Amino acid sequence: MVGISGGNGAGKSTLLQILAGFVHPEAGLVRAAVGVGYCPQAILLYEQLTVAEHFEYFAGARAAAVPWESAGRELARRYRFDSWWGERVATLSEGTRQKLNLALALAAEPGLLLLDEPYSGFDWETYLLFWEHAAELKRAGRTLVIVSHLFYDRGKFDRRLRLADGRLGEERDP
Amino acid sequence: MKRLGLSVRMVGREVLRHRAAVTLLFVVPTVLYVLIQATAGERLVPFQLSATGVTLLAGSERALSLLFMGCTAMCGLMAFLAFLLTWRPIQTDRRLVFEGYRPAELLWAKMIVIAVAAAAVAIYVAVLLLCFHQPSRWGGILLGFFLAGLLYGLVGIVVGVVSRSELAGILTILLLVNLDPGWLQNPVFYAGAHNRAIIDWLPSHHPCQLVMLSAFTTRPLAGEAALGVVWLFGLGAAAGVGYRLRLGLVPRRKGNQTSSRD
Repeated sequence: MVGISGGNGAGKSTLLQILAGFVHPEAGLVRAAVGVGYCPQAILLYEQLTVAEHFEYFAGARAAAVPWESAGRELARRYRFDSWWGERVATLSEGTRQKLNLALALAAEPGLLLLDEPYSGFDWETYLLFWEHAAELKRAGRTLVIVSHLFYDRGKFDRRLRLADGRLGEERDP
Repeated sequence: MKRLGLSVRMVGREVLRHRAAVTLLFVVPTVLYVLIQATAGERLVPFQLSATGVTLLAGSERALSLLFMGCTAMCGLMAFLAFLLTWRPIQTDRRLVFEGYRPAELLWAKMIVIAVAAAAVAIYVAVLLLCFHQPSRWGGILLGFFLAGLLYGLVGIVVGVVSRSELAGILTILLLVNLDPGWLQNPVFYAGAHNRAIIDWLPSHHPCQLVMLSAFTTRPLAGEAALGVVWLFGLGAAAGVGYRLRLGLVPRRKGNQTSSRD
């Protein structure tokens, strides 16, 4: 589990967008030997579709028949938004939208997860649930790269990197 | 095909759940037609069509207004609907492409839904027209309305992919609809226009000609319909290229997922 920190405007989100292929790098190459999941910092959802329809739509991208309903419901239960399963995104609170935003990135069970401040907008309980889930994913052999600016997240990472002046370096303890 | 089907279903649901927008698709032409009926007279007005050359035709002011405003309404409504389906969701569309959808699948889904909506509204406007006016070739008018809606649906997609702000996109559509179908394609204006080449080379020209030819002449319609279809291909290609560029995702290769730029 890798944490990336940096000041406002340091380029943390841009770095993740480049790694995910959302932004063209000015130079260089990105190579990933495993499937990549990406949770953007901005909530990117369809206002008029329901929670269930989002899981169905995203699962449709994958060629193999995916049991999207059971996987989606499991994530919705874990992050406690299953009671909104049939509700449109337009009617959801900001926190619930953020949960769905994250759950869609997790649903494909990729080997590498790029998560850009995935818990902003979460209540404390859900924040703890996220870290519990992240630890489980790590134990299952997944790699997580998480952009975080929270000081108290530091202890959760195996490796902490800091982005400053366009350079990524090991973060030292203060 | 499975992904295209799923995308069409989802885009269709998105449209149907915009209840206010769907209601307006039918309310706007109704209000326009009721207002024309209440205000326009039966005075014969001379006009000219590019499809008939120098021949001067004459039609009642009310009939001309009904047909002309029918075309304008179709163009405006479909352009705004397409813009609604393109501009706001484009970042979420990028996410779907990242997950594995092809941009073409997502774009085709939008175009199919716009075509269905254009057909539904064109039928409604053409049937509504019969309450106020009995044209000679109703089928040609219906086809003209449908083509006008379809073409401006594609214009709406193009504006949706090139606009950086929502307001700029809305104002661009307002400008285009007011200029092209809402003013320059008016056959009364056309008769006295100095530069007709500009008017002939605008997207709604051939559908509007098709509508007027159907209503006031017995001339064949195939030529105007074919030219309208040529415009459809042109605008469809522009929408495809623009949408692909706007999504702007770095292509991935199978196996080792790789993205690069030299």
